[in-house]
Amino acid sequence: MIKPHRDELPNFDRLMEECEYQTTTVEETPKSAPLWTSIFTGLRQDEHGHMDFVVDDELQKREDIDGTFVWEKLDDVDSKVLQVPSVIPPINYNTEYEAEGFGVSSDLDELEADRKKLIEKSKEVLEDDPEFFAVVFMQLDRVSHFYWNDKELILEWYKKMDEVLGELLEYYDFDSDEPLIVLSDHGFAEFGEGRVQTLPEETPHGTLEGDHHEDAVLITKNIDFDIDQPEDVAKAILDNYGKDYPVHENSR
Amino acid sequence: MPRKTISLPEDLADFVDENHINLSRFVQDKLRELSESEESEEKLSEEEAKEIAQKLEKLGYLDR
Repeated sequence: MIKPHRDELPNFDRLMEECEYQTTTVEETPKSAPLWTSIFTGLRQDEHGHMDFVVDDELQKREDIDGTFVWEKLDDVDSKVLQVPSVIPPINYNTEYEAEGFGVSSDLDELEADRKKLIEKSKEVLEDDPEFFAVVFMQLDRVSHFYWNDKELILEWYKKMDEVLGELLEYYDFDSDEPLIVLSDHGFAEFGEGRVQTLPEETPHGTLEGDHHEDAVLITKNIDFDIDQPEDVAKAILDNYGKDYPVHENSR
Repeated sequence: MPRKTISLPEDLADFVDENHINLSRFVQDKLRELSESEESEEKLSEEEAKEIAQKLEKLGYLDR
């Protein structure tokens, strides 16, 4: 959606122009709970073992995840984190935020209200100039579950995400050597287009129009670390702060 | 990191010096413990958990 519509997405366009842009193909299961956990722990799915929001009918919590998130390792860094959806409700760190609909809404008005509220909260946090800041906007994913075939609506939501980028990049100096990472945990596609099916086409509540796809967006600036898989993102962050990062037994 | 100033009575200040305690780290650890224990107290009600499960099911996340 981004490449063919660059002229309608000025902030994505700027990032693609001024930063390193690549598509990463996720080798493991392209589902949000395990992917965001890998992205922010540096562990692969078989290492952290956190694969679903609900296990044995129990909603999973932070303490159910066997791994240390980067902000927990950055104990001498002023870190602020908003809405990492490894679990539901999503994880915040050193700041508070309550998502509309617990971060798993499927109502367009509620998603829009949450997007706007999260922009304002992010700006409030960025005003304090934290040393490490991470925020996840999940609204586009939720919309894609239900409306993937309505490309006009999907493009409208890409534009809304572009607006999010514009608002937050006001706090980023493109001429600085400050590291920046903008990414998605996965892509989206019609059912059958991805390597593995991760969502059902029918739920007890109706039909879904799209499924997660293994291709994800990755945009970086001032990152001197090779990011090939989701877990490499955490390693890049930890490496930037001179911290040790997980090394796998069978490193690629 | 933001800096905060704390005041200590003389006997505690001496205790800190005598035992070579890293005061910043000590206070950070205690505050972290406190904030984490408060977080774990913020448990979801049964009704909220049910609402989340229903929303996850609607999104297709509960299909197994």
